[in-house]
Amino acid sequence: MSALLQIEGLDVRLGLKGARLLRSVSLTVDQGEAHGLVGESGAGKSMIGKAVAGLLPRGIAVTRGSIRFDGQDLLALPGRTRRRVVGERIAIIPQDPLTALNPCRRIEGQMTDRLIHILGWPRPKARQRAAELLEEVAIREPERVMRAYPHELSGGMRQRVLIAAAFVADPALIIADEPTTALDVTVQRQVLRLIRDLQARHDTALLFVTHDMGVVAKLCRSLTVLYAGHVVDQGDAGRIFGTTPHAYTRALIAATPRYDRPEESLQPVPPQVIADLDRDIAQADAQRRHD
Amino acid sequence: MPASTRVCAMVRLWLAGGWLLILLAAAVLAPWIAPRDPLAQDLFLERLPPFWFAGAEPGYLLGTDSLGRDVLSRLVYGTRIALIVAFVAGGAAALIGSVMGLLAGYLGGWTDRIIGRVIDIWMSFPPVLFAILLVAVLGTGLHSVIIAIAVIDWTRFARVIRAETMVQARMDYVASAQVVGRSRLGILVSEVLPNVLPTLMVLLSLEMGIAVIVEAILSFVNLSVSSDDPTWGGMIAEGRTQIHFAPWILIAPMVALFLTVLSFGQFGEGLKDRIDPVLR
Amino acid sequence: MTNALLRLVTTLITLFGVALVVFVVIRLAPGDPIAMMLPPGATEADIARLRMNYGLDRSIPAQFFIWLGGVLQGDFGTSISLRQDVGGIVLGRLPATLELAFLALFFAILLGTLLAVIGTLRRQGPAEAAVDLWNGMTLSIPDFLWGLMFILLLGVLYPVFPVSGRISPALNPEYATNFLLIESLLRFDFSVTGDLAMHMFLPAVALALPLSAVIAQVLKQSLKEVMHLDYVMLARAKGFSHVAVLFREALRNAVLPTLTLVGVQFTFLIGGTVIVEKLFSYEGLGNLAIDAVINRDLPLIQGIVLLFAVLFIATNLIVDLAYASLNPRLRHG
Repeated sequence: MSALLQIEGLDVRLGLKGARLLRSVSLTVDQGEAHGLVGESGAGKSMIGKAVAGLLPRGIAVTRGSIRFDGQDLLALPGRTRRRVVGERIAIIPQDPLTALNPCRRIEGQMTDRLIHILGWPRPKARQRAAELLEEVAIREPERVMRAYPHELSGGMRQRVLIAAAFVADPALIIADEPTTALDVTVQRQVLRLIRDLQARHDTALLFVTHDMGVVAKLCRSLTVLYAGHVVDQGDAGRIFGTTPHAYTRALIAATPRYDRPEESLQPVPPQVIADLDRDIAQADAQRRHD
Repeated sequence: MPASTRVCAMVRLWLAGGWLLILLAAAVLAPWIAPRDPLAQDLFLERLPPFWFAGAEPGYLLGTDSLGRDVLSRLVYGTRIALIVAFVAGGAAALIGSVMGLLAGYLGGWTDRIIGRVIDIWMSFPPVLFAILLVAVLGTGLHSVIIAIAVIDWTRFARVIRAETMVQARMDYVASAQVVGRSRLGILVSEVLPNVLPTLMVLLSLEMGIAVIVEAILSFVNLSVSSDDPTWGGMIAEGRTQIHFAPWILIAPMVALFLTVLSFGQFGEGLKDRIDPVLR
Repeated sequence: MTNALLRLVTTLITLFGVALVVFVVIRLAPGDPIAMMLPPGATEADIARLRMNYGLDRSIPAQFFIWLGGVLQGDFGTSISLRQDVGGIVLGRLPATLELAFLALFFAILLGTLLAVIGTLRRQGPAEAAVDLWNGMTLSIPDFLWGLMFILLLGVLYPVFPVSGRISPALNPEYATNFLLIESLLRFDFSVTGDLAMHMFLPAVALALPLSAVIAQVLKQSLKEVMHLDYVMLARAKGFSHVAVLFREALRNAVLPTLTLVGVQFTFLIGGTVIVEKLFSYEGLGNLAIDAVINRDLPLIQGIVLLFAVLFIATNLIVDLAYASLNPRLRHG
């Protein structure tokens, strides 16, 4: 199995001299692999997805490193070519289904515009494809849903539509940015199962951004743990959940709510673990500056 | 707000304020500044071009009009009427409008409905046509111009002040003043009015610019003060008739009007940035 | 349904109020319009007879209700100065004003949208600063001054455009309607179209500039808000360029808040035609209105003002309908 996405030594900064949001981040996602990107809020996990898709907000930029997608360095490509590569082969499942659909456009247009305008499919074929995908995400009346406007659908429906829309052009990589955070717990589990099924069936690689270790355990084969823009732990999911030596990762696992055992009290990350981590990071940074 | 924008706003405020001060000085000091009598005609010196054209006479800096009157002197004296109209008409419109707006917004109910309907009716007239109609009815003259502007433009204040007052009236400090047992009028004056004052000042500044323009328009259709008296609008009307023989007659009053209206507008905008605590 | 009914009632009350205000105001005017119509040698009896013809011998309330009754039957009275049916005169001039106002609206939307799009795509750069500066300036300068400047600059000093009239006197198209611009287009009579367009260009731009600044400002603000939303981001991830995303996804949503404002502002634009038409000697309703006031032509003034009021109210109604049809949440609500 070969690497599909290879990020190496990625630095992302706010402005040229501003705060570093990511420091020397490296990670690899193989074809068809689901990779979890875990961290607390503010750790910079969403930044990675945005950097890959070329969607970093104005004023935030990659200052070092490379993002190789299928052998090509995305950062070295001219804007137009890069947009084309991303448009054809990478898709995003966004966090909040309420704001991720354009309220003024029907579902059909929003599902098919990539097929029609970027990939050049004829409209009937694109329509049919969109309907198939909607069926795959267990939407019973795809024709009716395609004619609807977003406000006519429930939150769970919209998230399923967004998942279908992400898979519609058969991308090689899907970046899911906390796709279940905005949903209530019962819907969350359905949606996760959907993403896992579709990912397996279409053999799509998945970069799954979340703060929830429990979700990663169910979904991902490998994972990266981020803290304050630094990779603190990385590797095979089985190994990390079993025998990771990193105190921070273990603390995150302990802090995961267990739906099956709600009576168990949650363990917050102990302050000592954070203090140690901060010290290690400061040392590593000093070392790098020194080199 | 980034520092550069703030500096920009400051510059704007000072430039606009500076021009308005110059106008004020010109209006007050007109008899000493103006090189000639603004009414004196000299038919041997008609339609002289301003100094940057060939054929200009020294001593007639901005040239003369079709009756040989000195354009610069008329321009300087014209600031008097422009500023009188700006302050008196603008002030009167602000007074009527804010009283109506405060009452409608604070009392609500039938008062609000009636005032609202009157505003709707007023807004259904083209303002310029309304002004011309009123002045035609009242008879030409400065008084009529001022009355017409106040009678028409109070709605600009009333609409905005009404909305602001409604917001203010729901605030807790108004409720607590009521609990203490203060009279409704007392609360309106001491609690609500100070909070709508910044908006009122901004609107007033804008309205002054509008008043100057309306006066010019009325002079232009020959309905303002008598056509001999120096007003910018009258000069523009005269320049419009002479445009093919002496286009420069139009330039001076037009530029003066342009800068004045722009300054009132920018002064209001700058004021808004300065006094709005949310933006500051 | 009750909403629509309420709206109809308030509209009627407003129209009634407009009619009443005009009627009362112009009857306060000193001077006798009848005396001005007759030659100097007319006798008292002549004046009295004419006064009766125009119904001016009745009390003011009686005159009002007679007039109102006529209006409800489509009879707006007879013009004193032109001695013709007011309805006919006014409707004959209306097309010229409508064509001018809509051309101005078109320019304003075009320019305003262009400025907003430039300001959004090049935000935080010198281009946005320039757009803001230009907006600030165009916003405070009224149509009258723009018109004057255009006449001086582009009409006289660099005579590119004609500065008076609606059409060159040499051309005298025999058209079925007075919508000359539209009819000339439909007849492929492009020499007439070109001549009309040249005459209308400067007044239309003068009317359009203040409105374009309002559109640019509000549209830019709402575009800025919309461009941050997830669905815009998602569209970029689909491979659409910045410009394409702006037009495909953002503009439609940003237009909604702009639209209601444009409605009110368009009524200001229609009001502005009064003086701009005078300035450019354009043969429309506004020019006619000023002449009517100066001639004390009471029935004509009433007719014109009422027509303007109807135009204003219709504009607001159309905007409300357009808002509802563009906003899917209202359409299916």
